[in-house]
Amino acid sequence: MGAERIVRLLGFVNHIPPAADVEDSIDRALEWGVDYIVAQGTGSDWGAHWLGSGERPAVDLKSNLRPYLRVAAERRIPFLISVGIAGARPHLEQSLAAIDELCREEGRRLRLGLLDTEIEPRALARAIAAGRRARRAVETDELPAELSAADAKRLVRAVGLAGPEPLVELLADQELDGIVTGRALDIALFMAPLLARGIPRALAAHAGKLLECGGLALEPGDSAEPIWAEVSAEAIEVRSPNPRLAPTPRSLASHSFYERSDPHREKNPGGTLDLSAATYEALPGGGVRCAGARWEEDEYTVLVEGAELRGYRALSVMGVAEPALLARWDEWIAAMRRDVAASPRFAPLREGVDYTLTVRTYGDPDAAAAREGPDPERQVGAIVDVVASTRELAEKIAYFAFIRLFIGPYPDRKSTAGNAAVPFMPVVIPAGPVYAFGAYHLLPVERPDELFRIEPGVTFPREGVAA
Amino acid sequence: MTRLHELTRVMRSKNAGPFLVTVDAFFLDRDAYERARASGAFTPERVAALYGRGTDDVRGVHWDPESLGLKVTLLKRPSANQPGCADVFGAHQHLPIAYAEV
Repeated sequence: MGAERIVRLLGFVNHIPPAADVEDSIDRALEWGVDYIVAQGTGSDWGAHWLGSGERPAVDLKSNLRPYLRVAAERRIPFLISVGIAGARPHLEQSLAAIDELCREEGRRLRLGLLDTEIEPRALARAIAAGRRARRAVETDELPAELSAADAKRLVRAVGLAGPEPLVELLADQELDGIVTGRALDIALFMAPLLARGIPRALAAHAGKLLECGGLALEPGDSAEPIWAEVSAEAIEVRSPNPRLAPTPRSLASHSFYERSDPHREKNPGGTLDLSAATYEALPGGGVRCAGARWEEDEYTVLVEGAELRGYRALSVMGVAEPALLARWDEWIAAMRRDVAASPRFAPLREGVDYTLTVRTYGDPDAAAAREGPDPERQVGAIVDVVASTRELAEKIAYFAFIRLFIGPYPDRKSTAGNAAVPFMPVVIPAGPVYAFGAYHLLPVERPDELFRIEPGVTFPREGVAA
Repeated sequence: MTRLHELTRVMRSKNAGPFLVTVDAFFLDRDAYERARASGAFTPERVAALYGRGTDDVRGVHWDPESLGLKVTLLKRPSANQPGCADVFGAHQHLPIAYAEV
C-alpha cells in the first residue's frame, strides 16, 4: 500500500498554448515519473459572455493538447482535462470534436470518461420550486440573496462546478485513457487521482491549488510551462520540468494569492481548505516540499453559474487630434447625449432601462490639447458603447451618437468637414448579445454527482461525428 | 514620500470570481513588508477611502509573512455584469493601492 500512496502529477493549462520547448520539459518529467497528466481549461473571470453565447475564445485546443495527449496515449498515462472556458454542453461538444480530430490525425483510439456539467435552467427552477434553496456565493446587491424559480427560468444556460468526486467515480475504470469534463473546479482535476489513491483531502486540495495554473506557481511564473509534483500522504514535492523555471518557497506560497479572495482559507465543495499553517521548504536539487494544509468539513454545495441575456451591444470608435475639439471634449460628448435624449425616436425610451449609452475616453484630452505641434496620428480615442433591448435599437442609437459626434458643431469650430478620424467601416460595429451572471449561487446537494451527467468508457474518435 | 509600489516586486490586481477583485502586493524584502504593514495605511477603512467606497465593500485585508504578501479584496464595482464595466478581468484595479502613500 505504501508505494500506492505516492502519486506524480504533471500539470498544464489547456487554453494556453504550451511553450515551444514543451517536449523537452515533458521528457524530463517522464524521467521523474508521471502517473497522471492534468490540464484545466475552464473559468468564469471572463464574465458570463461565453456561458451565455455558447461560444468560446479562439483557443486552438487541438494544438495545445497535442504534445501531452501524445505522451499520455503512448505511455498509457491517464489524463484529466476540463475544457471550453465556460464549460457548458456546446463548449464540451466543440472540445470533444477537437479531440476526435486529434485522435484521427494521430491514428489513436482512446477510451475516455466524460462529465457533462450543464444544468437545465428549467430543471433548476423545478428543484427550487420544490424547496431546494440556493444562496448567493458572494454578498453583492447584483445577485438575489436566494435564487428563485423565476430567476432560474430566466437563465439561458447554466453549469455546475464539478468537485473531485464524479471524477473519482470515472477513475475506477481500469481501462481508462482519460477524462474530459465541462466546468469543473480547477483543483478538482488534480484532487481526483490523489483521493482515488488514498491521499488525504487537505493535501490533495493543496496540491491542486499549487498545480492548477501550471508553471504560473514557479519562478518566473508562466502558465505556458508545465509543473510537476510528487504527492505522498505526508507532503507535496513540487519541481519544474523546465530548468529555466524553478519553484521557490515564496513562489508557491504566493501562488495561493492568485485570483482568490483570501490567501489562507478557501471554501470548496464539502469543506474549507485552510493554508494558514502550510509550510514550504526548499530541497536540495531544486524541489520544494509543501505540507501543513488543513481541511474543515462542511456542507457539500455546488456553485451554479448561470447566464441571462441583458441586451445587445453596438460600438462605434473614433479618434480626435484636433486641439480645438480636444479642449471641449466633455462638452462635445454632453451635446451628443442631449441630442440622443431629445431625438423624437429615442425620447420615449428610458436611459438605464431600455438602453445604456457609455462613451469611453481612451487618452487624456487636456494633455493632448496642450501638446505643441498636433499630429493626426496621435489621437485621443472615444468608444461609443450602446447596450439596448434589441440589436436594431442598439445599432440605431450607436449610429445616431456616432453621427452627432462626427458632425455636431462646437464653438469656434473651423474643421467643418468632420470632427474625428474614423478607423472602421462599418462605423457601427455590432458586438452581439450581452450576458450577465443571473446565477452565481451555492446549491446544496445530497450526492456530489447528482447534477451531472457521467458517461464512462466512450471510445474516441467517435463514430458518426464529422471530422 | 514613498508609494506602496516602490516597496514591491509584484503589484497587481485580478478578479477573484466575477464579483470580487483582489489586489496583491509582494514586497521586495521583509523590511519593506514590515514597513508597509506597520504604516497602518492599509486597514479596511483606509482601503475603502482609497477606492471611494464604504467599508462593506472591502472584503478582506490579509498579510502573509511567508510570501511577504499583502492581499486586499474588494467587491467589484461595476462588475462585468454591468454595461459600464471597463475592466472585465479586473487587471487594472490595483492603482489606488499601488500609489497610496506608505
